[in-house]
Amino acid sequence: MSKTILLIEDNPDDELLTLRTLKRSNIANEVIVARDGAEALEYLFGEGVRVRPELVLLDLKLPRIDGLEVLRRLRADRRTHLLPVVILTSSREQQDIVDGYDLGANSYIRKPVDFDQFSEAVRQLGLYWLVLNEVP
Amino acid sequence: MAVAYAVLAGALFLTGVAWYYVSQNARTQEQSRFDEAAQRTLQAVDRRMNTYVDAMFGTRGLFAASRSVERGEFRAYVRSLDLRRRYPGIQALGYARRVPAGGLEAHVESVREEGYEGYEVRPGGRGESFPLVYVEPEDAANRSMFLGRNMYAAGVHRAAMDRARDVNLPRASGKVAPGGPAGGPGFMIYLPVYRNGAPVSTVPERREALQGYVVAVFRARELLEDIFIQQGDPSVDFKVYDGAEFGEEYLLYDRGSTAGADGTGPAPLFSQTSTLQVGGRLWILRFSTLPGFGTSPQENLPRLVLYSGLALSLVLFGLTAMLARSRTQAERARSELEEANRELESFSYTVSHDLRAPLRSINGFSSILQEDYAGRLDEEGRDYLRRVSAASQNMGRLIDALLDFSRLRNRKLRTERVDLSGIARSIADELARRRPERRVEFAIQPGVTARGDPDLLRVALENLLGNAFKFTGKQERARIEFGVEDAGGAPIYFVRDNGPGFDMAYADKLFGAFQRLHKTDEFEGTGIGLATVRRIVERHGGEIRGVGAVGRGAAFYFTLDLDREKPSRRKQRFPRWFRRSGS
Repeated sequence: MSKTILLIEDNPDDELLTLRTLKRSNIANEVIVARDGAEALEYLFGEGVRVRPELVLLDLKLPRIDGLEVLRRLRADRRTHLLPVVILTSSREQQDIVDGYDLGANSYIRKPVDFDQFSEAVRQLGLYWLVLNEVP
Repeated sequence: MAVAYAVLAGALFLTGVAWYYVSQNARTQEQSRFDEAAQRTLQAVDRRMNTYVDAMFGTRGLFAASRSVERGEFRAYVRSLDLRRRYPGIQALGYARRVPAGGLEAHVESVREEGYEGYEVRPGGRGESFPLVYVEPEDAANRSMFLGRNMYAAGVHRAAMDRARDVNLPRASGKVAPGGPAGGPGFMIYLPVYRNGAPVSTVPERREALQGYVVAVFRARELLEDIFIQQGDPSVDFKVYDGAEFGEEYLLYDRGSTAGADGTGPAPLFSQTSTLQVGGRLWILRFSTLPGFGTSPQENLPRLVLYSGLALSLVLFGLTAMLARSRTQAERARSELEEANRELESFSYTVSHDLRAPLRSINGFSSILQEDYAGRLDEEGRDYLRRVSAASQNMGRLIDALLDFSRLRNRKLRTERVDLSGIARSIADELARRRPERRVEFAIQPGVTARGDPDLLRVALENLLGNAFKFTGKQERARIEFGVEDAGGAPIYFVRDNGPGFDMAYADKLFGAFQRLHKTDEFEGTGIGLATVRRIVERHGGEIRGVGAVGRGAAFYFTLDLDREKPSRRKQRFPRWFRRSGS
């Protein structure tokens, strides 16, 4: 399968742990990492030919442009308004969850502290969104 | 404070309106009192003058009844009238006889023959004269003043006499000074007497038939004072002017001068001018209030209304200002509290997000170490890694519990009737399912309900039942009870176990956050469960107590009373027996 994931994550530890899990579970053959919201938007809407991701894993607390703002812009653009976006964050604030779904997030996952649970969560969501889920 | 000033302005306005209305009302009442007094006096003057004129007509009747009226007859008649008593103000009643030109000497002679030796006509003259031949009561003063006096010589009298003769009616002179011991201004009234049987329907006939006049001499002060004493209001000044003009020379009577007013005082409150026909002359009666007028209660009422209204306004202003200030303080306190809550929320968010991230790294990389490098470590090293991993997981749970605990304070309660038995049953089932190897007997009383927030009450029961489950872990035959006791109306819910219990000496430490009565390696836990339970119970207006003894199990009793969420009287809600056993 040729599946691409865009991981928007500013914490290098989380990036490393996520990448390891995705690699181990053999779900995606390419993971593009954006370290803040601006970088992510630049990748998606910038100049030049890019590989379009099949899934966006989005952290909320990001430098420069935060996760919810990135989501708002993705949903406002015709090219990305159907792109599956999974919020993957430390926050369990009710307000963040409601705002995330309001703006059109497809899923909201809270990163568990326990690495086994974290790995399992990432594996399952990758499997679900990249393999099971059908997109237009 | 704006509200307070608005209240002040409104109250002052109302006071002003009330004062204006009451004072207008009082003024109207005073006005009508004054008008009434003036009207009464006016009518009394008019009535009395008519009475006096009637007396004059009676006197004229005497002349009509006899051929010639002798002095003795006149005297007897006037005496019968009893002037001093019945007609006060008439100084003298007399008769002026017509003496044709040239007849003066014969006239003087005839009077002298009656015994009036020194009788003279004053002033004498060549023309027609009307000397007063009869004057009654004929005391020394009246005799010297009026007997023989030719009134016709003075213009002020002549005009009245001519007019009376021509119209056959009583006519008054203008203001004169009759003199005499009493002094003061006065006037005279003349009533013509015609020859008996002569025609008097035309002016020439009247002039021809004229024989003399009945003359009444009035002294204004005696006349009007008497009326005023009977009819007047002592606080109303009363002036009578003869003729159509004001002025000292026309002033017949001034009540104020006798009452001591000198006219330099404040302007009168009310005044009124009326006119009256007296003997064909126009009199002006001027009434005005004296400073003494209007000391009646009605007059004081406006002032009373004004002062009490002002006082009330100030009191209202003070009260409103105090209320406004305390409300401002309350609002400030509330906004400070809201600010504190917002800070707490943002703090919670930071904790939730930023404290967990490094934990995840610690846990994640120690797991990876165990996975990828386990072969290069000995058993001790692997044990250390497991401890790092477990500690980070524990801290993650702790953070979550702490966050939940702090959110309890701000959470809005969703109130409904909650099936506590059902919740307890599902929790028990879940606990038993999680640890299938344990043998625990749950005794859950059916049908226990309470009003409250179902989610929060579930959290509370989860903690209480979870604690009981946890602490009975070493019992052969664990027994956990949930139910309710009815203590005089207020239900007391309880969760009891037969675990190791606790020392009542530490009972007050049970519900503090991170307070533990057992060592960590004995029973795991975050140390925040009972603090959470207590906060939930208190949010429901209730109270919770723990009762236990070492080795004899623990029991937690709590009340739920949403209607009495205020913490006052909380201590009394537990019955006496419970409080004794719990202390």
